[in-house]
Amino acid sequence: MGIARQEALAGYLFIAPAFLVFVVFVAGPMLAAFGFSLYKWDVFRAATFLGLDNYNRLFNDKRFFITFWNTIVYTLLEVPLNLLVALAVAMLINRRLHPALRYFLRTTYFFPVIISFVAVSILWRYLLISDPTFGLINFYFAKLGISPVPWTTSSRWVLRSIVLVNIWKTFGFNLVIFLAGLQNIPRHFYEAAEIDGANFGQKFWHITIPLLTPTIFFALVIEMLHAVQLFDTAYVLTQGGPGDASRPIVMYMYETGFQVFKMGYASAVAVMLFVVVMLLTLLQMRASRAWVYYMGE
Amino acid sequence: MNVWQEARQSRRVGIVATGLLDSLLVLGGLLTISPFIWMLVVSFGQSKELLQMPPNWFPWPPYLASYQEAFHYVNFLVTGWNSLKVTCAICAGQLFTCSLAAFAFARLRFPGREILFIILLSSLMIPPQMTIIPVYVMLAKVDLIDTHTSLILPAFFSATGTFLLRQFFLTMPQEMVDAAKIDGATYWTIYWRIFLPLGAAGISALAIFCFNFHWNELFRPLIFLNSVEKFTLPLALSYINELYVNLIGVTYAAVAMAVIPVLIVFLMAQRYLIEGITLTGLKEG
Repeated sequence: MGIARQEALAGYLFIAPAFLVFVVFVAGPMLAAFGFSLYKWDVFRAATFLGLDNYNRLFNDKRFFITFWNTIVYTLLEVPLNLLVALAVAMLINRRLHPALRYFLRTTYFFPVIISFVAVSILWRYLLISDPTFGLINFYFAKLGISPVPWTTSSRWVLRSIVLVNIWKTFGFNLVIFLAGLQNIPRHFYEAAEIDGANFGQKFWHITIPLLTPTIFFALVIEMLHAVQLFDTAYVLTQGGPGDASRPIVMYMYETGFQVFKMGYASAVAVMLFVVVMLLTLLQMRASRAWVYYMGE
Repeated sequence: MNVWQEARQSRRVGIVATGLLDSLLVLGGLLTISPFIWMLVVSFGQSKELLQMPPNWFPWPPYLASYQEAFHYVNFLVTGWNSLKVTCAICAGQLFTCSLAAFAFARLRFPGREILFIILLSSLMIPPQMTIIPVYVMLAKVDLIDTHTSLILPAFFSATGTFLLRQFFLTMPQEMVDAAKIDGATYWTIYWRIFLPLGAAGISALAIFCFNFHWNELFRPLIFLNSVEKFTLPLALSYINELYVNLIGVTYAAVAMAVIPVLIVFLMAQRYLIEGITLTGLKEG
């Protein structure tokens, strides 16, 4: 056997385990989800073919639209705010710091990232109690003369509360990514600008931001992928309530599929989630050509 | 004002500004961990049930009854062991398949290499919730629902992991492969004896990621597991959260017990974890 063929054979063998798992547990099930969505199936009885009826029903399903909308609103709030907080803190940290201070900040800001969403949600569930005689935040708000906020009891506030909790939980991750991006910007750009008499704002808008756009783009894509999959926090912190005010699309899918056992209908919901993820990702890829700047291009 | 005075003045302004900035950052850090401190305070407090406002920020002597009860309710030894077992098995399998594939994609030439790599990577865009129903049905067909295998087996692949390690292996020179080949080494030897040891930094970063992700996972255990004695820690916590709504001290003690091991690992491994994130962030940018 020739060396090239031997190498090719080795290559296929080496990727085989990963590929096998990918086909059986990712690619196959993905295609199957499309198929399932065309059936009415409750696990206990045989499935009946419906064609596109599930999708027809979906477009007349008020709860589908509400939960879908919740996920969109959450994503539109959480992603930009999260990145803004992370970028602002990264800008403040990115200078010569005492090692002890650096260690303290790294540990504290990053700590929430490593805890589970379940632990975080339970923790905040009691912090966010609206009654100021029990809820810590509203207790201190009252001391400061701020009227109590109905964090998880009002349908107007509940999504914002989840946004707040999840930013607290995940901004440390983006902070680390931004810090790496900032440290990647060559110093001589700033030195040259300083010689030309550029002030802080000019350096920020004309050097930092343009050279950071690839990092921002990366963080944006990842954060958005996570945001549309919102489930854990809503499930544990608010149980989707009050009413459906904080029920995200994934939770609706979970309940339809695994509590009411409408597997076909839940698959249709899952397909819609996939379509949204696809559209958002493609949209971002397209838009990125206009605003992401790669050095050396 | 002469030049010297002006320089001193601006230095003084600089020191004050830096001091202010530093205090602001420290305040932010304290604010970030304050919910966690509050949790410890409540869990060590006297009352298992009621929240006291204003809180007693220094519960001294610490009161351990909440921990005793939480230990019992969460069945901590069993659920902790379940979590550890499942997470370690997933990480071992995932690291193996990912590093094998990453080595092939980075350093072996075979027809269709690029297109196969893109196909694997495209799974990044498939939300895991999309595939959960068919995976559930498949696992039910082979009688694996309510087993730990149902959590472990489907996780033996990660697009992120394959991508990360491929990027890492690409930084290792092709000449190493060629030289080893001339010496008569097999591809397996090159992978096992050269790339794995030299790629230890990338592999440990991926291992920490994998561990953190699956240790904290709720969605799949919630769907695949039914029996309480098979529960993983996050699932047991979410269960406790619903059952003992009024036992806040106990609930917080349970959360603290789940968090403290992670905290210890984090304090020891945080450099690698942060380097790992930096690695993924940099390579994409």
